[in-house]
Amino acid sequence: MDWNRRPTSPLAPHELIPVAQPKKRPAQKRSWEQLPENAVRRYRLPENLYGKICAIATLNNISNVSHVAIQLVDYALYQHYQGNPEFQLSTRPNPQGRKFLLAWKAEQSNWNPPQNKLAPDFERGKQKRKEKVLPGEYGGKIKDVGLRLSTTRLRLKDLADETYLPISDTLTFLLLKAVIAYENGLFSLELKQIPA
Amino acid sequence: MKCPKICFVNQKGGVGKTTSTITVADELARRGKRTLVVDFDPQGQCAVALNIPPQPGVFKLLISGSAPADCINETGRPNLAMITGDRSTATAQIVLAAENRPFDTIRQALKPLENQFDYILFDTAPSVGGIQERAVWAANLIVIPVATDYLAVDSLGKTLDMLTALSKQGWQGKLAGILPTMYDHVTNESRKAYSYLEKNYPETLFTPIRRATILRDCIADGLTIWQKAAPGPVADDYRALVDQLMKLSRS
Repeated sequence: MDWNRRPTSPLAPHELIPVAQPKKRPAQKRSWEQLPENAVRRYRLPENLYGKICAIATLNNISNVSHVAIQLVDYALYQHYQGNPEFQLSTRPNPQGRKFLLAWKAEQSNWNPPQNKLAPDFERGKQKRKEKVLPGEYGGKIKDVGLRLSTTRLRLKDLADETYLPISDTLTFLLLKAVIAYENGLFSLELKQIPA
Repeated sequence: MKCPKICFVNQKGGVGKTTSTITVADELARRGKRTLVVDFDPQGQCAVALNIPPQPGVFKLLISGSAPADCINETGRPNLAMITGDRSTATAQIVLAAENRPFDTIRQALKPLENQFDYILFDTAPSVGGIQERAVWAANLIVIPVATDYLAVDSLGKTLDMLTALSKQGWQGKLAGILPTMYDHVTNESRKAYSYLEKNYPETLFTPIRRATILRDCIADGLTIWQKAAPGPVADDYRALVDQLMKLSRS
């Protein structure tokens, strides 16, 4: 079978037929978008947790997921600093990294920490990059999510620094606990008109 | 785009139109989108694949003048409904051609359903004869599944010619892309076909769907890949396709 015998069209389909293009993201030119505290930051969140937050946004007719995330994190931070035991982060050292790891309750009892290798690995070639997976409840897929957490981000960062945890792990914990509280009806979201 | 209508079309048979239609439709339904599949194929295999009996839904819609809502069959899956086709669809095609009905017959017939559904998907027959062109005319987005073999790639040009002709006559839809199916990286033929498509249609090529027996098993069991083999490599391929289609339908 000779593929070279196939005639090649002088014109590509997009020159003859209208081709659908994905909608382009609008340029971030609004003044509030350009403020440093409103910049989009990327966080590594479990995919199903992010899905739950999106679902909460959809249910409450909120088009911006970041607004929901801010409310959830604010609630969780408030509970944390009020001393609610459900919202206290427990950590454990990570022998493979500088920062600590989040210790979920389920695995605190029989946790077997990974050990550092005594001898260096002499395998040649490209090393496989280890996928960082949060332990405990969330062993699922991790997704890079862009959120504008505004000033809440600074408070989140403070807590992450206090507990010596990566900021994404801290955010995951707070969002998860807040989502559970939301699902249990401990708090609800209310839409308010922003005064012009 | 309000209620995007996506048409899977290729004049060649056995390229994965029906499989792709029901797989995409079921995934959209699983994502909470109210989805309707309209089977314009006289073989009525969309219904068979979803384990429901083929009925003359398309005939009733286009020829008998029944209300569209009366032609819809439930599939037993949440958010997924179907207007089934059967042998009578071939009769509908003859009547449409004989009466020289306008090109927008299908579009007008489905208009009352646009508020009821988030997505409408068309599965078409591997032929030319009136109903396929009218289905394309009614669609906003066109997906051309092409098996990665010589004859399927050969027929692609003819389908593109049809779209070009319709475009010249004022068709408002757009080509979403060419979907390479049954891609088998082990065989030379598959690789050559894919590189041919990559070379000639780089702007409009979707991520290929790999060849997998599990897809045929699913059809035999009246299940979709999401029920039988997800997560899995083929399910991942189709999930990528659904993501791309959802992005395009928002444009």
